Amino acid sequence: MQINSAFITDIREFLSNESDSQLENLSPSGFSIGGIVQLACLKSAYPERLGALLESWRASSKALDDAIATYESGLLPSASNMWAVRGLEFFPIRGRQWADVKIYHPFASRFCKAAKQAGFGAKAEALSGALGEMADNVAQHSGPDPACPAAGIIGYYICDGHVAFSIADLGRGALHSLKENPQWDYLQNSKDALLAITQQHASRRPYGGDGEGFKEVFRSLANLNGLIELFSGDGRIRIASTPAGRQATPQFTGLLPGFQITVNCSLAGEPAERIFLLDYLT
Amino acid sequence: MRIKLHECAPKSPTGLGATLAESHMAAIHKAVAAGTIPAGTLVILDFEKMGAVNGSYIKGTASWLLTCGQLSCGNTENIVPPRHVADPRPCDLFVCVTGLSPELVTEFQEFLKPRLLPLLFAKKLAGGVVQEALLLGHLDPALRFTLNAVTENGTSTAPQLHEMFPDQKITVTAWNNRLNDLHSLRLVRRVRVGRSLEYSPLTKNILWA
Repeated sequence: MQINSAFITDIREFLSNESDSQLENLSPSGFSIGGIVQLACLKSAYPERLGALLESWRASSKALDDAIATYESGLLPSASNMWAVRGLEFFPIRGRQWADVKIYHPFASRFCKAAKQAGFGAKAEALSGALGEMADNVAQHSGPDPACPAAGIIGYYICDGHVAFSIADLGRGALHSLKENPQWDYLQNSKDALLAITQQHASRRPYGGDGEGFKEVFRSLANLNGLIELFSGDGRIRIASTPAGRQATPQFTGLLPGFQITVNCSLAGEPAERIFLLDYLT
Repeated sequence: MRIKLHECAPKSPTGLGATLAESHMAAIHKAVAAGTIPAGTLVILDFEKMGAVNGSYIKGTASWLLTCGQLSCGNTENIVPPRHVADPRPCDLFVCVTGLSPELVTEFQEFLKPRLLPLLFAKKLAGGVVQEALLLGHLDPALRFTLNAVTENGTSTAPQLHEMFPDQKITVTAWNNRLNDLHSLRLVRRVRVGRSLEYSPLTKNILWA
């Protein structure tokens, strides 16, 4: 069984149904970066229903163990071989100073180097910028008071010809954030909020025009086979690069808190998630 | 008032992201919220030594100041009450940028042009006075002509410009409207003298991008 976007959609449905049932007898073979990052968040939100299962998985997956420790305890990436390329790693988003230059810069630098090594050349810088913008959204929009943002997590997985990153939080979500701006007060559900953010560059700020974050993401994905997937509240939107341009598929999904985004991009082939094995970091 | 962004806390060699912009602007956010900035103040944002900036950072710095200034000369009934200290609010201030590298000029142009906003890039400064500035972003041809006229003439009124350019067949009312637009865009200052409004440029010389 692969812990990918489809699995996360099922898990959201499962968790949004009010019951005491637990997941049992599931055995993962691998994770997508979006899957592992979202699981790390959901574990702390639903300890009774997911905790036992994920603790058992954690014992056999250093990647999941790292992701959970990053989200729950704010574990920073290892400082050994600080500038060496890593194919998979996680970074905690804590407070407004999450991108402190001494801590975040080495992480961003490793991401950039890994993307260059994977064949993305000058595009690596743009992807690094997009990752930073999406992560900064946690600090900017996840809390009702910008001084107290929700905790968040960044994860990336890079292999030959493929870059994927994911950012997740369990904050107030896109709909509640946008409703701060009277222009978007009419939005009724999270699906429409996600559409407004990605297609109309909606922002919670009432002045200053469009939000800039997704423009940077879309710019960074130009001429790449990109796949963006967002979850917030009861909304999900999947945006795929096609020969005719970006194609968005919005839908309703199980209602869970926060905002989660995963970006996959490939130099060739159909836009798709990539899976790494359970024992990837072992 | 000059703000050297590379010296603002937290120190960063680049200007990336809205949160960093808010941190760098924290002192001015408080001053605007407290109403302690004198009316008509020109805020010069110095981007020297900033290796790169992105749209979110521009929006949180130069564009934030521009928005506060624009709100101060608009219809106050339509102003959205600020919720947070970093939300724009009316403040009669002006803004220009300085110290932009060519890469940063490109980034500013990409930010300003789709929003149809103009912004002065001070190329020569002397004691807080802009001697020469390059106009970045967007400005309608009619307003360009008007801004050029005010910059060359110095402090001007609509009737004066009407007299100076008799061949243009621009009525006094039209000059007034154009000057008012430039004031709303924060490109000229305005003071009431008796029954007339006097407009003065922010720079002694203007260059066009």
